[in-house]
Amino acid sequence: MFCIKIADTVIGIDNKYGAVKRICKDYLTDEPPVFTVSSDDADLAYELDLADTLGAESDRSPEYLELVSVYRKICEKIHEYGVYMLHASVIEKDGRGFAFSAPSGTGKSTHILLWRRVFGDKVNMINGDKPLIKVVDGVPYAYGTPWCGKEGWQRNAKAPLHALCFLYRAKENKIEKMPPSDAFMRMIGQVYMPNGAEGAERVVDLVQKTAEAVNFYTLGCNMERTAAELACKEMEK
Amino acid sequence: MKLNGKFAVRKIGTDFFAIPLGKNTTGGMIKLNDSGAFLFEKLISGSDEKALAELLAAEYGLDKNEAMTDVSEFIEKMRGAGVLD
Repeated sequence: MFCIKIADTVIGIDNKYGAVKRICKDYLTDEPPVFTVSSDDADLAYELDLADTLGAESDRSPEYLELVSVYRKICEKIHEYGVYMLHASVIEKDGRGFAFSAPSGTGKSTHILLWRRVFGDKVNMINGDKPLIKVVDGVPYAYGTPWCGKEGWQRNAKAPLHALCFLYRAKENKIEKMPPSDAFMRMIGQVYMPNGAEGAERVVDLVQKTAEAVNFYTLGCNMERTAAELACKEMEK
Repeated sequence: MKLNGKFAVRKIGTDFFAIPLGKNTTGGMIKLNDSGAFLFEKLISGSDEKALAELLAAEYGLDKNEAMTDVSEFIEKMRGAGVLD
């Protein structure tokens, strides 16, 4: 049993295997938890089933299944603290958060590496895959967490989200503003929706608040430096 | 006539969205306009086409026939979206 602090929330994890504690090393805390999660055999069986159904290529070991299950358990509860999980890559530049959303394999990671190449150490990773978002006084903050995707891009830090773009591959770089209603619709498809109606409604409210606070874009990009330059110029506005 | 699960109706900009909550609903998210959202809210507690038409006519100043047509179209759309019981 150990505790972590993610999205400014202290959570206890009652683990069986070592993998989950290992990935949490940058987030360990002695502070008392506001809630505790643990995964039993039925929970691991659920994750195994899901991976099989989705045809995922991920690890099927109990260690890995527990790691995945724990994050799910956290996401099923943390909405009570004004936090939800978003599937996107988030970086921080000049103190502001920039998020990129796209299906796996589209080129989010490549695009982020371009930003690093163009802007150097002005660009820092927050979370490469599944950041938690906490809305405080109408401002959505994106947080680093141990669950960050295969590149391991995470930092125990937060950034206020300024802009989010939905990426797609294109021959010519093109960025367009997206109206909040379209953004809201797409975001709902990219967040973790709790199983219960009450939790799901809380997440809907949090996504609505996010949609009202952040600028949204669609970005068609090729794999060149100019893609990052164009995206940054627009998204920083 | 009722919805087959719980939904959250939210307005973003000028559009309304009905989002299914929890694992019990079979339909997906639906985009609605002003009058659609009005009728959708009425379906939450349950209603019938005649009652919906009367409410719609009163709310928007329509005549009964116009309202009946609008309601029929709306119900079709909701059935198609898989959100009705």
